[in-house]
Amino acid sequence: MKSILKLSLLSMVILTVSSCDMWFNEDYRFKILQILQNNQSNKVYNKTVVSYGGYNFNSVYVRDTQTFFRSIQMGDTAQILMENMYAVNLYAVDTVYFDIELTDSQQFNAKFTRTYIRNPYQTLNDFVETLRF
Amino acid sequence: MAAPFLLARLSIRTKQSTILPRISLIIVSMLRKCLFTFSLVLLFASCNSAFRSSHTSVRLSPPVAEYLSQQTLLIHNNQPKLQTRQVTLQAPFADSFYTLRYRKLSGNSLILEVSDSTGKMRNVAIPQTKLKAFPISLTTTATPLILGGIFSYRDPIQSNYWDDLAAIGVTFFNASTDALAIPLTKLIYRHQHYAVPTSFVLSDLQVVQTLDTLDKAKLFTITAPVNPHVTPFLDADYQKHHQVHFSANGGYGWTHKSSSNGGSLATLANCPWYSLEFNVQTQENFRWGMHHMRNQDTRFQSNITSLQIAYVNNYLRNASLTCGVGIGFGSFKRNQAENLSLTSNLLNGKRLGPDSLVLIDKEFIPNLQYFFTPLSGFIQYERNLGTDVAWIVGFRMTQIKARTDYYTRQSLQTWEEIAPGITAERIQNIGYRERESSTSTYMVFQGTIGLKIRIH
Repeated sequence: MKSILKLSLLSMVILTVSSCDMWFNEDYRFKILQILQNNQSNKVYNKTVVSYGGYNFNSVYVRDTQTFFRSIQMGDTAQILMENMYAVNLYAVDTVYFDIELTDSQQFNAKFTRTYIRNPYQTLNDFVETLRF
Repeated sequence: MAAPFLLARLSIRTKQSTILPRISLIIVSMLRKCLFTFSLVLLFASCNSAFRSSHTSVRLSPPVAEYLSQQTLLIHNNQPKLQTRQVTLQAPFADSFYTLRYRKLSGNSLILEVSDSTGKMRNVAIPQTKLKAFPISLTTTATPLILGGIFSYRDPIQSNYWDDLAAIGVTFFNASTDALAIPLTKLIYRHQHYAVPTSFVLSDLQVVQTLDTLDKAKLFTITAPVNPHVTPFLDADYQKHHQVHFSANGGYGWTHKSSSNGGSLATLANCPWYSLEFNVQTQENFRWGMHHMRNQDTRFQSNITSLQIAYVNNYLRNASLTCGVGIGFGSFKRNQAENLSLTSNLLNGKRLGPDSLVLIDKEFIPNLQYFFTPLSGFIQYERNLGTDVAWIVGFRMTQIKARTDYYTRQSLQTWEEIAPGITAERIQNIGYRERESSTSTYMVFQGTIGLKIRIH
């Protein structure tokens, strides 16, 4: 009887301690994959300026900009992948702007901005966007 | 400042404490195994006596009854520590036999002392048998049902602290109660284990007629009654015997979905099933025992252990027909199912325009174990191959609760024309990833064939 009581008490203690965390959690993530698909009959030149703002390690709000220059062959695609934006250098990145310029050697010319806004109420924010021109 | 570009693959982290939960799971698992063994031990020592009648009776033919009604009667145990019982003669109720009724007294054989008014006496041996039946106790009845109920709410991913605590509490409470109640019951109701076999009848007047007390040799030479109808369960000395039956069966099970909660998209495959069982038979027409079965399939795994009772029909020549029911404890684990992709034009109850669509991705979560309380019914034909070996052909219906879990994620797909000739197709996930669990109840219809060994 004594050993049964001891065993039950031991089980209760272990269960109490071990019940702390058995939940399945996801990492927070803000990821953007942009695909540019060239359907023109010529090679297209692309300039994309990616800009966003957030807080650095000193809790100072800063803006960061990255510029990409590519030439996309006829029927080909180009990609920009931005990943783990929460984890590296800047915190609380909420909005990312892609300022895109497309030109070819002929008449084709386009300039526009794509905006990606993170939803703060969900852990995972994945954007996949395909631009066809 | 460096841009935060990192090309990393999608990573989902399972946040779990490593050591302590494992220890607790091992302990819970060990306790479950101990519980099973403990239940088996308690099967053979129980509180049945508390529920048995406190009186028993000897059947008498009318002449014997008429004669005994004029004599003084007393029953005793013929032991150094003498215990006696008063007897009452009762008129026939359901048959043509009178009965001699008395409060139960332990012992395989009692003495009915007949004295007449002239001082003559007669000692008559009354056989008694020790009763055997399905052991009724908290551990063998309420505990498996309560544990089945508690474990059916277990979540295989989240913490089940309160469930485990309740299960341990119930088990120890019931087992401790039984550990106290069973010896106490045996002590208090020690006489109620015994009863006069119904097949014993005092029909011969010469057996009960009083003798001259001077003839000591004749007076104290008491002939033990002999059972004229010996069966495997009642020997010539009116003592009960039981048989233990072990059998192994194999068969094929066809599944039929009888109900579904939450719209399970995965089905349950038809597959082979194997089973082991042991039964105890204490009467010609009644058998009880334990049955364990499991399936053989890579897509899902189910183990079911049931307590079962059965009626045995012995009218067939060299064979018997058994039908029974069982209830027990089952586990179900689905190992394989398809991942699914669905589309919908509804978002939060509102219909989307032609430029939008909701994509629903369901990722199957394998190897999650659930518990349930299965019901089963069976009928089987047993044909004797030898004295103690028989082959079995049977049909068994078992209820199974199958659970399927998915991680569900919704994405919103939109199309937009940015400029003439330039389109943007965007897919953005919305909401949290959610775990979706659907439950379906299946009936498994099994055709089985097996071999049985009988141990006396």
